[in-house]
Amino acid sequence: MRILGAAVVLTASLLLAGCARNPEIPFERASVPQITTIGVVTPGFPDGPDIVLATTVGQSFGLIGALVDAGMKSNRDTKFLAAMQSRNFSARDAFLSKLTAGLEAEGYRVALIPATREARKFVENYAGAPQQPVDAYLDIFTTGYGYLAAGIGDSTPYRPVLYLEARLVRAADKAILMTDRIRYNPIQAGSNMITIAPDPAYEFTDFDTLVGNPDRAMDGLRGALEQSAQTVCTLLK
Amino acid sequence: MTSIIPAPSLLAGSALVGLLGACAAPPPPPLLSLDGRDCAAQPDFVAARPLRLDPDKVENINLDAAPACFVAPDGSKSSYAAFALPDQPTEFLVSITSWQRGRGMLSPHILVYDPIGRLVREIPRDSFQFHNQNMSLYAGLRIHPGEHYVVVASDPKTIGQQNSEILDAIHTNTSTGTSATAHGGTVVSSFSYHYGTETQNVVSYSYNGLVSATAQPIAKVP
Repeated sequence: MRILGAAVVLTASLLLAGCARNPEIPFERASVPQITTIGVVTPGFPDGPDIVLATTVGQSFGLIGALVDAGMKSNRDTKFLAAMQSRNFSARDAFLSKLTAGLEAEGYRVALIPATREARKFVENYAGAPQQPVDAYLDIFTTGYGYLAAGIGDSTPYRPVLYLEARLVRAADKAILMTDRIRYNPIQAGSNMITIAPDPAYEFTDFDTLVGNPDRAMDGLRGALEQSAQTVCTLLK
Repeated sequence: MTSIIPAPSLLAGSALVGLLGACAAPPPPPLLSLDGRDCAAQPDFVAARPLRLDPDKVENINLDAAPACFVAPDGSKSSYAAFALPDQPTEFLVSITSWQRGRGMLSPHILVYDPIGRLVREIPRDSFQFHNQNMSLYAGLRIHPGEHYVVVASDPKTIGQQNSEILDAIHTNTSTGTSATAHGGTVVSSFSYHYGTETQNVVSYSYNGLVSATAQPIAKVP
């Protein structure tokens, strides 16, 4: 059941993310001019990408169908991860690089704050991280990233997908200065989240095409990561 | 086991929207020019729609084929929707959403005014982000004491521009059948299957559209 559980986690979060109703808090830079140095806490990323087929025949056949689906998904995840590892591709590094450059372009100084965290959660105590003189902590984690196809067939190709949550916490008093959710290529998105449509340049008719073109697949994923990072920077303008 | 089927309320909501949409008049086409319109020198604050400090109290303003308009200092014309803010001693949030209607969507920016109609600040067009599977543009802003009106105005520089986006969706079909039993009864059975679709959504930024606003206290985030 562990495989089944792992398989449904991202899919379920992709499909049901709209149920969350946490508030978005906008950042207003003009009212906190003292925020000039941002400590970027090590972003939380899953161990590897997810390859999600959002609708399958197996879904119509109860537990047996779900188990078959889970096995097939696990196989796709493993193959795609191997393809990305063969290119030395790190999703976290690609994201962090763009995030840092984007924040600096907005005039912030950036300090990287190493931190360990629970999966899919913000860091609970920033005092536990190595202390550096920063004005605020930018805390980001992804709930999943990879490729998603809405269904089977040529009309629903695989496209990059990424879901993340971000917040900016003032160092002095731990006040939340900004919090939001970003969904790149969402499916069934709900309210209270920023959505980014996928780049139409990156589509793969089926999984074999996706994993058979690893350089292009990597470029598509990098695009999703960078555009999502840039959106975080836009929220902090 | 966690269900991978979308929440029924979402699907039911989609079906309801579809049914209502079939009965309603089609939305007007995108309005791409205010030529010939006699626009005021500034927004009409008397007609501003009051907002209450309640996230569930949504105020909608429909900018139709002949929306209210004013002339900016640079001579450009803007359609607009004006909201009167609740009088609060502390900071609070206002959420502004511009919704797609048919093929059009108001391309918004925000002007904030004091109680006597003096412009305090502007929230530019690029502060708006797509929300809700790209069917709307959203911006949130913190309102400070002394700020009294929010005007959501069309952004003249982006009128007529188009935005094209890919939308994925999941659908469920359920078929139900009845069959007779050997004992004269009936058995009702149903079978559901799920399928995905991908569509291209194209919208033109226009002077008309639907604007909604809410006001709420700044939430405490754990």
